[in-house]
Amino acid sequence: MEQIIAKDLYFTYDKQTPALKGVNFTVQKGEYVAIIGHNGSGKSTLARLLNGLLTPTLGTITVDGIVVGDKKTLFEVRKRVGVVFQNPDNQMVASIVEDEVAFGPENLGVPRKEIKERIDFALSAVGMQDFKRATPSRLSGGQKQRIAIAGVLALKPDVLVLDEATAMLDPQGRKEVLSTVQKLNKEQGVTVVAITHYMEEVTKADRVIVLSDGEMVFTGTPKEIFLKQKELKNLGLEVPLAVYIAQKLKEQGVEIDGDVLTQSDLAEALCKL
Amino acid sequence: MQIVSKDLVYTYSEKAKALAFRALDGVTLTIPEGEFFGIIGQTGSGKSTFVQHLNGLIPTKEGNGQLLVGEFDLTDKNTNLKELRKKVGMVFQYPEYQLFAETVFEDVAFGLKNFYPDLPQVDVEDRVKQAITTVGLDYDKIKEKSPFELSGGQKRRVAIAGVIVSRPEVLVLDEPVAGLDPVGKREFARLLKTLHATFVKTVVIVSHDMDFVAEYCSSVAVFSKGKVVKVGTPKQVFEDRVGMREMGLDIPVTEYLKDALKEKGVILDCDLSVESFTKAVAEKFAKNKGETDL
Repeated sequence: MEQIIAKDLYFTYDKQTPALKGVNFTVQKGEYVAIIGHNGSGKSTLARLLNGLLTPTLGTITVDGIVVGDKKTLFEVRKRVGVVFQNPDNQMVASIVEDEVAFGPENLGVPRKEIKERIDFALSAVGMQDFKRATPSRLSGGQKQRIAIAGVLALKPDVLVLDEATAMLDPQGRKEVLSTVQKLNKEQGVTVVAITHYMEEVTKADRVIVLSDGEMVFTGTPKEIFLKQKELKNLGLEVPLAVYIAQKLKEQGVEIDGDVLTQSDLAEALCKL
Repeated sequence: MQIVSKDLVYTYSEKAKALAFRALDGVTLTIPEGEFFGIIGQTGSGKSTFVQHLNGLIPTKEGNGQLLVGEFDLTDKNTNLKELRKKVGMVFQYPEYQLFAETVFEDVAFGLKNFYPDLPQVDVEDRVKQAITTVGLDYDKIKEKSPFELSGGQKRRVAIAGVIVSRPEVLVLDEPVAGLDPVGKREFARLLKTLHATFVKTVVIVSHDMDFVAEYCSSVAVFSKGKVVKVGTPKQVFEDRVGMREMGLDIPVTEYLKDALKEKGVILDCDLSVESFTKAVAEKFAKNKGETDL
């Protein structure tokens, strides 16, 4: 089922240079889509359009058939679409972690008992259950980001939009958050739209959308995308380090077998030599 | 300027006991002049708290250890912080959020004018122009723009220009590559190298990007629970696989691949860079040169 349908999306901040120039795409229910593109390609603008923080200048975007960007439907849309942004400092409102996570569900009128359950679920999903009573402003950048993610998870959104949401995490923290996201996606059928620069994260997606200068230039599976090394490079993007190393090895006459996407693929291929 | 920290302790909300949190629990670390020094560690391990001590943003209280940055003793209340900050430039996490002035020029010039109020306008312009060009932006095109019109990557460069314009000897960067695309990251590394080859004598960089640290840093310190648990070259630090895993840290891709090969009995003699790794693998496994050249 098509859950998100974007048709001919245009968006202009200053009425001069459009940030998005006619983007068309659909996202299936339960799909895990990664969006990549260089800085300034329109990725974050797209994230803001997905839950109605911005209204398209032209074109439409619908979630479950509901038009996004219309004031009347805003509440319905935001119940369905949760967005985690890049910088956690910009999205913290409460002085205690527990209240911060409860803020969203409280606004939706979720019963108190269930809110408690949701807080526990969301905090343990991001590994922050011991910080329930902590003050967000006193946490480290990475910890704050996890709280921000928990705050959105507590809303139990159908669509989870992550705008560079793991950028501030340490590798272990990123892995944990990613596996939480994957679990939500696989087990609970949450649709995920992940905007990221981490190419390793992209390899986990079902499908990848590549944006460049406000236009969608490719879409396909991670494997299909990463085979286009040259095109990606021209767009200011790079393949994951493992793919790059595999390519370098081939150039130097090492026979790498099979398709390499991740470091474990490459390790396997190397061990066959 | 050498940086010497001895048993440095810092507790957030020290007075409110329920909220008190000891972020630094006796940090002992020496960063010699000339290093491209990496600081790694899990979130909450005290990395950012530590580097914010380096230019006196977080005060070092008496009895909480010792911190010397060059000739500046930060435990001494009479230390001239302004002089210190001229020499120690700080780029925070998400520097693009520090911009505030009406034009890029004014933003970049702000720190410089504060530090050197008597600097003639001509020199201010010269220095600002140089800083903006160094970070890879077109001075004439951008100087009159509002910083808020720029893209995220450009904003970050402007913020950095605003720090290097004062020509600090020590440049401290907290997670500078987070949120940058791969090309941005590489350009950024190149920029740091350029700065390091000119007036910046020491670079201190906090990062979660192990491949970045492995490739560019001369030394690395590992923070864990408010302490420094390991210091050494990237090679020495990443060698401790068990320790790294226990601390929730990754190893660079090249090290991961070396491990996989080692299990198969193939020992590679190379350092951590991608270049040296592929060369070592090619030497072992590449088909005879003559054949591939055909």
